[in-house]
Amino acid sequence: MMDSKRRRFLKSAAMAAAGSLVTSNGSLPIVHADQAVDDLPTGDGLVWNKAPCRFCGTGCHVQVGVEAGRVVAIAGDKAADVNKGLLCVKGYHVGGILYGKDRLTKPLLRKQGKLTEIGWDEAIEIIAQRILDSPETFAFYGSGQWTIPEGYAAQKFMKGGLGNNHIDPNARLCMASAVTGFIATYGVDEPAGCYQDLDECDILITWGNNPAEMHPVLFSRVTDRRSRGEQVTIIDIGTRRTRTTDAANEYLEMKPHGDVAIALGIMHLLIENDNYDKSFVEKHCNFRGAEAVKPTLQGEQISETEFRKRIAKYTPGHVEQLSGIPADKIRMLADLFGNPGIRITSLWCMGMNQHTMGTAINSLVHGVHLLSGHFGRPGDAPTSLTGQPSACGTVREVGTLAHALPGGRLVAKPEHRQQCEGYWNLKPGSINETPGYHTVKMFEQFTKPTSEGGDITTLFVQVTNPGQTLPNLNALFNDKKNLEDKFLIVSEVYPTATTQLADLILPAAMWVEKNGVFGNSERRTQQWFKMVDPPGEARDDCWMTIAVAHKLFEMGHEGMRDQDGEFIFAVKDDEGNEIPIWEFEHYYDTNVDKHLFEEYRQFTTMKHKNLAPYDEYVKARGLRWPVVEQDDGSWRETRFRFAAFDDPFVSEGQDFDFYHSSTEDGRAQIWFHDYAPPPEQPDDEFPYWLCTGRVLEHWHTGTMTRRLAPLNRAMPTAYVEMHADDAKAANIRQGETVLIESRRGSCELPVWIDGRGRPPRGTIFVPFFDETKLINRCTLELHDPFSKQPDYKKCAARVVKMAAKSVAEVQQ
Amino acid sequence: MIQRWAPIFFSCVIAVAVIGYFVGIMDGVPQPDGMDQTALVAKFDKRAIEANPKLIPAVTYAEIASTSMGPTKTWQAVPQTLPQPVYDLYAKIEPSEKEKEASSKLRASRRAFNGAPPIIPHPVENTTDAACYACHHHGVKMAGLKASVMSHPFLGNCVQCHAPMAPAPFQNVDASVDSDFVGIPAPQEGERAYPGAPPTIPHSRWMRENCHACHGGPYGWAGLESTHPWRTNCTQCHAPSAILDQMPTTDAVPMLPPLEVATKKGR
Amino acid sequence: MPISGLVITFDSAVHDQPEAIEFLRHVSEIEMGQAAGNKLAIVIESKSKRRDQEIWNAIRALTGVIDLAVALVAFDEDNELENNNPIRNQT
Repeated sequence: MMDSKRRRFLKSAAMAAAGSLVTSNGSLPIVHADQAVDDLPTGDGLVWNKAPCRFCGTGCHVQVGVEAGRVVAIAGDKAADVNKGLLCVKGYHVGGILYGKDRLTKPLLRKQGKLTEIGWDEAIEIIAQRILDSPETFAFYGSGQWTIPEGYAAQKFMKGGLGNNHIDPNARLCMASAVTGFIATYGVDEPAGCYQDLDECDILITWGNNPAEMHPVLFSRVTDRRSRGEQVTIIDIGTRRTRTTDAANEYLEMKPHGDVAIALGIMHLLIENDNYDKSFVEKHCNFRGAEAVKPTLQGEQISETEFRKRIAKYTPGHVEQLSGIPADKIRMLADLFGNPGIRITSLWCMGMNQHTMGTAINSLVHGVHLLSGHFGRPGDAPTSLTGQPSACGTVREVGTLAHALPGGRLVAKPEHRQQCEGYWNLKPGSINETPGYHTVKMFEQFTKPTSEGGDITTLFVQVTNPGQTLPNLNALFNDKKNLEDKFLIVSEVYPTATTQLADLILPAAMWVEKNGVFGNSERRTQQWFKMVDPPGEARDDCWMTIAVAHKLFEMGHEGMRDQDGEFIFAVKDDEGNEIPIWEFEHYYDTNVDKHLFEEYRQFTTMKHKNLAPYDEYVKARGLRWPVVEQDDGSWRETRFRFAAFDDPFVSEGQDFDFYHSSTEDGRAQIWFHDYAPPPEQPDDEFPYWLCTGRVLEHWHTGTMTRRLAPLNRAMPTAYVEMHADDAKAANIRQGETVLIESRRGSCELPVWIDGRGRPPRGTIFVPFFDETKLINRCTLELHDPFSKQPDYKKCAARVVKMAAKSVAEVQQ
Repeated sequence: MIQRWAPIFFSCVIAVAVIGYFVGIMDGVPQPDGMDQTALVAKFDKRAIEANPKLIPAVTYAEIASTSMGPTKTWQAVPQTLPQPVYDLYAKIEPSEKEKEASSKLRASRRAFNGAPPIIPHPVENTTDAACYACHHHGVKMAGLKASVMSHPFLGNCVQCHAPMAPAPFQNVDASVDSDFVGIPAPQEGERAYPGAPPTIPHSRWMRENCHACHGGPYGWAGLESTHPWRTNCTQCHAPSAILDQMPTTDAVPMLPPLEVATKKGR
Repeated sequence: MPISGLVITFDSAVHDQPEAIEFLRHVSEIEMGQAAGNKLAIVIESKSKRRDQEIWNAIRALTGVIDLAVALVAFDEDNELENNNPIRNQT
């Protein structure tokens, strides 16, 4: 309710305004109201400190204003290279995420269906006991919002301590295909370029990407160049018109999956017109195709002739058929790439990643850039963006994936396991050689009854909300409801769709309530310090992991001690005495983050993702790896990888060197993948393409942003975007609530015709931020064969007019 | 069928040929009367035409090229400049505390904390930056409402930072939020070194480069206005804060060591 | 909960409009303010936008009313923070 004082004020303001118009003929209203001042912050004791923003993968730095133990203000950090003082509407309000009234403050255990408050000791003991009882059926589901030390601790606890590889992050749903694309192409993950490419490109191509809303700071970094009089051409390739389209010079509306055909079409024309970069390809590239049987990320070498032969059928005409983009536009794109005089940057995010051909399309777009030589010069870059603040830092670099080990290592490789066991001082053979379950599989096994082979019985979820984000929620999450022997542990800050089914809820500290390190989309590692205390009994996620590990250590679990019999997370003071960091009151006796980070740093040199010491990050607004120590003792970051002018690891005499090439010859791979149609397509029964995504005001599942008044008011509900003609044909009005149904589930949503995005006829779009309108009940869990990342961007659905539905039901 | 229509067709052809023959032997092309005179309409009362904008004067063919055509003046949707109150740059300004308080409250109601970009108190959808710019570039006053002047240089994608009201179809959706967040308030006033000294700038200048957006001009905030809006170089007299502007700061102001002055004793 | 400050313009002086004034008195959401000449200031504080609209329409339909102008509309919905007093930044 609006408070009465405020209402009185508004009324008096309204009256004054009306009165002044009556008496004076139209001057500005004069507003009077009594002023009340109490002990609220005044700005006098304000202390500012740096932190990366809590939201997306852009990695803006904010200045956090703290007074009397509370965050009271946020400012864009002018010293930050990423955002140069600017933020987006989410970033400016990020301080408010700590102060939702329904913060979780006590551990809660479900007893006979009811949640009851318990103590932390009991909570930790329950978790440890469940793990001790059945260590192989325990799984850890983490996040790209884990800080690097949190992810590293979880990784070491699972793979090193428990010898259990069932650890996977929500980033599997978010950028797994970007990883496989990079690895398939360069032999090593993460972008070669950086955000400077956005400042220097002449052409920006957004592939199924809407950065105007999802990475607004990066997008305005491009569009603000126009305000300064520079020329930047933006070409938007997408399946619906968005705010990015509004700023684009050219909008190419493709059919879902059309991107694969477009990339192939461009490469075909580059070869046919003979204007690809022959010297670059000859010196730095190989051609590669998938194996006919059992295709792998490695693929097999093919000759250039063979590549030409395979790609020959992707003529502009054929590509037009597959993608819906006119042939002359394909020629236009190929001509741009064929022009070595201009600089082209490609941007993509979920459109290419959440794709059943995710690895293929990622590899193909890299291939377009390599073949045309639009690579490695500032402004010439294939750049994949991430949606989470540390999807790169914690997931991709620390390797918190079911098949990975820290620093780009793989559990399947004996030498990699050995190296990790060495760094961790563990008994040889401690690490399990079989990759664990990826996300979709993990939840399949968790929601399947144990009697039917569902061999995950205890699941620990940290810093993410799978109850809202998993595809096909009815099958992958909601089924847990009926399974008595399955135990769901959720560490959260607010009640969510996931905590609804949790058996044990742990209140977590968030963002500047704890120390942290994130890694953003441009390889930038960013550190911040704890600035305020978490509310109630909320505690750090990293502490939870260490506390459970220590409880297991106390219970005699062998994996929790290293070869010298010491606790695997032991931290010692200067005198060599162990600090009991597993007791929360002693957790901040030392900087645990720093200890974990320095330990993790050793892993990073193998793949040349070298990190600087922790203290260097304290001083900087993030540093982009590889960070290499100079002769004068300073630390130098790298903006452009593989390019001799900037990357210190390029061999002498080379202008480019892909030093982790999967063919071990310093070359990158230009892949051929055949176009394949999407696995589920609209038909008579389900005639619409359903695409899901985000909006500017809300971040992912809205757990944080929906507790910020300015944002929630700007976008109070999820909706379904429809084309006006489709709505008219179905007799649906603006704002009317309809039922969206797919083969897997349904969701009620208000219709927005000609809304913020404008889908073509036959396509509907629904944002997934609204926990009261779960569109992921409808989405498809089918995923890319290599990355295991599901496709949230296309499945078949229908729009049912609610009244019509009830009549139909009555008739049945 | 063809046989029945054939005589009619041929008789038509013959008729056309006959007419053509007689026309052909005439002196040039047949000319109706008056073609070489001015248009008929010119004979009407010119004043009547001018008085009634709905009347379109006809012109000769020769004049067509130089005559502007198209909708009449009344029909044309020429964007009219909204009548704006006359602003007297040199009018004496006596800022009132009451007005300042009222302005501060209205400003505060649109921000989560001082320094946050203000929200947009109206829905914004299906529009472009140009539309925002139309009112917020120089400011507009209308029906007791005021469109604030942009305090910063032009930046693209306005809604990147400024959150609007709910889109039109969702205006009645309950968007209430339970939060304990309390932001810092706007500073009351800058410091003065002594009475009469120009006050310092008590807020960051970032995104507030245009001082007149709030402190002067016809669209500033009542009570916050400068008493001397004709002066343009504000920082000439009003010192900004290095801390608030995120300038590099040091704990101590670096100074050269004090002069070494020899004392008599030391001699 | 919309709050709006409106100015009613009558076709003659306000005191010559007893019927309209009587109507306005009967609507509990309306509060009357200053009157001058044929203009009258009122504030409507109603439960919903729909109700606000209803009252607006009713006033416009009154005999003697020639214009109804908006002076101020409180845009802020009832999603404000309980503990905030009005001078605080609200949202």
